[in-house]
Amino acid sequence: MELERLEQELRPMADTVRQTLVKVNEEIEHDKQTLRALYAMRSRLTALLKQLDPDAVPTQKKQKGYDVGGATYQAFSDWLVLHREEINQGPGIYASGLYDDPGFGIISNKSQISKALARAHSDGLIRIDSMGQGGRKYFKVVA
Amino acid sequence: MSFSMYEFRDTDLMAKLSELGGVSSKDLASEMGLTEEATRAAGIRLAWMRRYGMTTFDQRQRLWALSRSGERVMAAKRRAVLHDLVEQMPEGELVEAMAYICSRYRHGDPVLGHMLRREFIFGTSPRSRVWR
Repeated sequence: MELERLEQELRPMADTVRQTLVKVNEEIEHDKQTLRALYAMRSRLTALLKQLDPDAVPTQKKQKGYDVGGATYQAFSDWLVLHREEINQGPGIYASGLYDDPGFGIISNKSQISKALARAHSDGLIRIDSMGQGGRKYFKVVA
Repeated sequence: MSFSMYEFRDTDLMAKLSELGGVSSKDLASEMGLTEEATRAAGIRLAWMRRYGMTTFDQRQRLWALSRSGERVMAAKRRAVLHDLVEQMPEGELVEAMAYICSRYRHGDPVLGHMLRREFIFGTSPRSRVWR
């Protein structure tokens, strides 16, 4: 029968592919072990080099984070909640708008206002409602 | 202009959809103060959110809306209370709270799982706007 003959012809091919696959998996495992050993060696060498020459090993750059914290941010959060209705009825608040607003006095540094807004956004206190010119973000207070 | 998850949280867009009801990508971009060029980016983002169960798309009317799961998430009104609660937690308890959230991620509603994962990415990824 044609189908049986075809199966018999194809079976050796499947065996070849299977054997090759086994060999490839073995090589992958072997390479993984080599890689792990190299990582461990690198860590030890880096630690040793750091002791011998501290300047030779660059320290990881500290991520810029929020500069606003503690009492200032708490005051800002409280202000957002207090003025929620007023903020949400308008187009929303934005960094330079707060900076220019003489009635806002919680944070006087424009960069810190931006960071406070970013933190409040990340905390879920405010949301981006729309965008303005130059990438300006208008925020509204979440319920 | 991109609507990437490093710029906008999922809940930013979901709040807009909640306000507007059914809306086209073009109208959503416009409502958010963006030009027509952003329409495609809006559509791509909404499509990903649909894939994760947050939005739905009416093929006939070509309108986006919140899914039922999305509506449930947006209906949560306790943000201010939760914020204060978490703010007062000692560090050890925060770690435990995170373990519990991870458990909900693994065993809870899949849509919630996606949203939890994406919130974590927004809040921690070096690419996120939170670091700028």
